[in-house]
Amino acid sequence: MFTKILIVEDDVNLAKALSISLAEEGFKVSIAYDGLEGLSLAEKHQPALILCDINMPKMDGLTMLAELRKNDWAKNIEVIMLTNYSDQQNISQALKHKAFNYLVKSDWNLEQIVEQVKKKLVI
Amino acid sequence: MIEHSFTIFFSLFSLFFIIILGLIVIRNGRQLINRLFTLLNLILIIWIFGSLMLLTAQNEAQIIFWDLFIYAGIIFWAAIQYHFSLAVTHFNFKRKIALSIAYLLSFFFLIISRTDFFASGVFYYRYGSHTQAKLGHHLFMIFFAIYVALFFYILLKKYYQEKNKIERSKTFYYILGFSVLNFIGGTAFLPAYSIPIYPIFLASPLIFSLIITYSIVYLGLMNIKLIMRRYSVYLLSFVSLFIPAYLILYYIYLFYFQYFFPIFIAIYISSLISFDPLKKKYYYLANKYFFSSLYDTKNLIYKLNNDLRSSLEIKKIFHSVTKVLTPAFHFKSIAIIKFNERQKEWSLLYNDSFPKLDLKIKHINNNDINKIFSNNQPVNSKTIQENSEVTSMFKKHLKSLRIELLIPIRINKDKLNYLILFGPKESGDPYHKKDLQILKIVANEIGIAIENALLYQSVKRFNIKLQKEVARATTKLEIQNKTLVKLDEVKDEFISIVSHQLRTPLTGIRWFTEILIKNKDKNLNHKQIEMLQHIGASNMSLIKLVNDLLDVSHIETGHKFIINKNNFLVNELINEVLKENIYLIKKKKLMIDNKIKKDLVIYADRDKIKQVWQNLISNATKYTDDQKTIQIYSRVNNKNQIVFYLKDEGVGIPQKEQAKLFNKFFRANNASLKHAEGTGLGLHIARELIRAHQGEMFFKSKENRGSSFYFSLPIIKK
Repeated sequence: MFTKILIVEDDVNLAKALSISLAEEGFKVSIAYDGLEGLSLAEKHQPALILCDINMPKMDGLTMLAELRKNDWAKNIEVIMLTNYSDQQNISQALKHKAFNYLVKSDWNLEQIVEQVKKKLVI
Repeated sequence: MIEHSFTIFFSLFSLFFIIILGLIVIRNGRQLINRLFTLLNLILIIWIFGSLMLLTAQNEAQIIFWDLFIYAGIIFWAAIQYHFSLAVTHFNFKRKIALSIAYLLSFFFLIISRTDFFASGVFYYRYGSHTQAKLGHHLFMIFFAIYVALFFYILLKKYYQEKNKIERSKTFYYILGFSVLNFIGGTAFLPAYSIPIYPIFLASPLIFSLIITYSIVYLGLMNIKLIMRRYSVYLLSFVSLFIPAYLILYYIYLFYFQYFFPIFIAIYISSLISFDPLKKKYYYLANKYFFSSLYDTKNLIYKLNNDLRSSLEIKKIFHSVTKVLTPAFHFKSIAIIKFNERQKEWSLLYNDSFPKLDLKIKHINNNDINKIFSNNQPVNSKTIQENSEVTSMFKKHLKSLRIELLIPIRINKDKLNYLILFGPKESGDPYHKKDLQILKIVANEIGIAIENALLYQSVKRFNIKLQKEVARATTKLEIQNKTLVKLDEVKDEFISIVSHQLRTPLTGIRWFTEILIKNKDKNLNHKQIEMLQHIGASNMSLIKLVNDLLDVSHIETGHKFIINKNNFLVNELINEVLKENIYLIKKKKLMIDNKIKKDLVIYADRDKIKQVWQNLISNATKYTDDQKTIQIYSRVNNKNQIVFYLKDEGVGIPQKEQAKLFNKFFRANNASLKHAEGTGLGLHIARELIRAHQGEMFFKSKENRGSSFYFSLPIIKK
């Protein structure tokens, strides 16, 4: 039984790097490239954790998160927000929609991110 | 009988006039001089009244009675007149003795005048009758003549010795008046010696009174000038109504007796109605011609002050000046001229009734004017005509323009700015000394008012200019502000681009480098891995640079760092940072002496504090020579703060550059030599991060000996 992880990230390269690392750790990874796609994939795969970018085309990460939390099935999905904004407003906005980790991508290496994921999923 | 009735009428008029004069003098001045004058007037009244009664006397007894009645007054004349001359001049011991003798003799003669020894029998002549003089009367005449002579001697002496012009002319009028009285009036004694003479002596009291009245008005005799004006106006008004009314009624009485009563009522009422306007008219005429220098100084200045205070326009000032000064001085014309600095000539500002002044003003030579007003005093035309320094041309102009008086106004102390020109007085009187004094004060007032008005005008002009300037500047600022707002937006956008768009590809490089270095497939050799590590390190520098720039722009825009505090182990954090710098530490074989207790926990923003340590430790490793020691320790100070120290043995910071150390983009000279890279942002950001924790960062340094950096954080337990 593989733990499902959804990556919502509009930058193909970052999404790829993340998925490689997580797949190496044995997670089943799917990738969405915008918020709308993220919502539909989340519903489809019902992942245990979502790594979600904030600034994305079509639907941004915070809106997606708000939409997601409206569904009963999504209530317990763990979320780690990924962004390259150190802008505080985004953080406080995100905090409204349940507790989650907020990572500035460039400050973290992949190992650390995987560690955070594992911590969340209590593996 | 006709002659008698004229004499009677004339005497009655004199009597009336003298009574009034006596009353005025005694009512309005209680000095000795006024009292004596009134006494003299009383004697004159007795004399005239007695003379009138003599004319109507029926028998010898009556004649003798009224004659003695007259003598009862006249006997005292010489003594009182002498007394008067002393009051006008001065008393001394000799004069007092002479005066006492005069009064004693007067009483003596009063007593003997009751006897036949003085006078007996009646002399009848064409114009009247008189008792005949006896020995007592002869003696009395000698006494009388001596004291009259003494009187004139004293007054003449004063007249010749007096230096004050006004006092001198006052004395002159006394001498003139009393001469008339004594010499013409003296003829009244002639019938006593059986010399028949027309009673011209009866005219002398009136002439005397007129002379004295005139000098009261003109020279201020006995200080009753102001009151004199009022009485004379009333008297004149009354007389000029009474006489025509009397004549008309007399005529009606004689020929139309049946209409007498209604006409009497009509005249009575119309007289009552016309009294007041007539009085006003006489006042005006009296002021204009007889009292041209009679005004209340205080009142004049008060009025002018009051008017000028509310005048902030030059025109209004001139109007006020004319309005206030005209009724006081009654000049025929007034003008105000101004010296024009630029054209260096005088120009007309205001003119009332100077003919052709506007044309002739150009010919007034400023040199002449400067000569005249060198001492800044008012000057009259007479003085100018006598001034030999002034050109004859100027004198000629003054004469043809009929300028009588010139008053200088200086606004700036050293420059003559304005002149007030006065024409002659309506009365033809000269301007008195008092006039000049008042006008000088007035000129100062006018000068101040003009100055105020000019200032007000320039402030007003300046205000308008200022308003325009402000409006223009505001528009300019608004445009600039819009541009700035736009620029700010552009800048924010730029930062956003830097932050997001730059960081994203850098993150991509970072992560893929990491994946490669991990080398899961084991297909990369050692050299390739090492090169990848260099790519990773370079990329990390780039990420750090971007982060620093973002932090600085964050500080610059006035944003505060948001601090998310948590409890964390300080040593754990320091070890993480040391690990990041392990490459250089190992390479340089640096000793790290960390004395911080392993279990020390602080409550702060871990990421921010880590950033601070990263900065300090990376600096220390960079600028410390091989095999030296870096000390790290902490202690609690007395302000309930924990202070962290990092002490290196590096290059240190030159003394003169220490003040700039925390400035952004600052790098010490010796730092560049040691380590070429570096933005000079690290310490600037580190200090701001500490300050965001309500802490402070300091350092001590000596060049080539090393530096100590330390920062304080408040101790919070949570």
